[in-house]
Amino acid sequence: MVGAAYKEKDLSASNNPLISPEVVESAIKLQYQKNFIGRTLLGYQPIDVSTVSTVEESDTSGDIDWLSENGALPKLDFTFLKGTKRVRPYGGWFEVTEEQQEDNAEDEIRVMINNVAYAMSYFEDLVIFSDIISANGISSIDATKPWDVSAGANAGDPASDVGRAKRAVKTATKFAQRADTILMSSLTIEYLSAFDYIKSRLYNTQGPDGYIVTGVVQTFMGLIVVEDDAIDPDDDGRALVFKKKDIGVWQERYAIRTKSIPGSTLGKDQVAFKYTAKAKGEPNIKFPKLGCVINDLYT
Amino acid sequence: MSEKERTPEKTLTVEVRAALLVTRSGIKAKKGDVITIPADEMKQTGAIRHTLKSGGLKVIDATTDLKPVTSVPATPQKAGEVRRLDDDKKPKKE
Repeated sequence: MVGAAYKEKDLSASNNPLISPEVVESAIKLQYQKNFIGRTLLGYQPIDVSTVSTVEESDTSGDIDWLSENGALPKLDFTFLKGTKRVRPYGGWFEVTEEQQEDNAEDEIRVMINNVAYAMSYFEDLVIFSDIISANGISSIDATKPWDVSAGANAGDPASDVGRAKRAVKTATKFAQRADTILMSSLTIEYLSAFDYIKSRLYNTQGPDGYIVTGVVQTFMGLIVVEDDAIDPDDDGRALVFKKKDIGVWQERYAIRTKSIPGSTLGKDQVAFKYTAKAKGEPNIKFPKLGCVINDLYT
Repeated sequence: MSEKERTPEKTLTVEVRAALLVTRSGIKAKKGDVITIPADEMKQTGAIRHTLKSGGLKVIDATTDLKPVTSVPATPQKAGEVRRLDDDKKPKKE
């Protein structure tokens, strides 16, 4: 076409729709939601203010009992501590340079998108699991012996330790509630997988649940196994047995928000766009009795 | 017996606030129990360290013998002067 209908910039690679700001922002949101682990294990509660009043469970009282004809129903309740919970924002940003935009560097931009999306959800997992572990009143046990098969006869007994943790949750709730999930780091799963009885089960399980197919242990001692390094970021040798959804809620003030800011408005000549991602939410662990931490798995 | 063996191990008296605490060292306690744990962090097991950190164990302050403290009646000459009864406060020699 002759004339001024198209400028040089319009014909450059930076016009690739896959790296347009709208698409990059959408990609951040899409990748972010793919990575949820901790949030799927909690209940969900949208909130419309940043500080909410909350309760933390203490002792459960009352029991179900036979009813007499003229008698009253027994009251079941729990004492609780009332407090407030603040919800804070968190997020991060990255920049795409004009050269990346001009060179149509889709792969580089995709890596940055993934980085910010993974970092956001990993941050949430760290906060969630740290809050559960440090919740006041959560049960805590030591592994009888380290889960280290190289110790031979002195190696621990994971089945027994997990069984004790399950029992701890039941005892703390007057045998009323049962744990259904165990959360382990990838290193703990590696330790666990070294035991012969786990190994043979893994290798002999066929079909879509087989270890060879999925690479993960599906269930252990009746508990759903969830692998997330955020449960034990420092490799202290710690696992968490708990009742998912009921132990607490993810309180969300607002979901992920993204923004694309042209570099020229920031006074950065070589930056095409600065992309920001932020969200506002925090876990609120109201019923710590529904969890039990197993410590000293490695030492 | 060596000097080191005679030295008693320092301990902490704590109240259990976690629903349940079971350690490799043989402690099995539930909420409300008062137990004794090693004061040295190196001698504590993972479960003890975890519960101490999460508030599942509350250290009970040891009672210490404090010297009785009282006040000396204030006089216009010594307004607000407060001293211990056992203070060896002698008048300065001129």
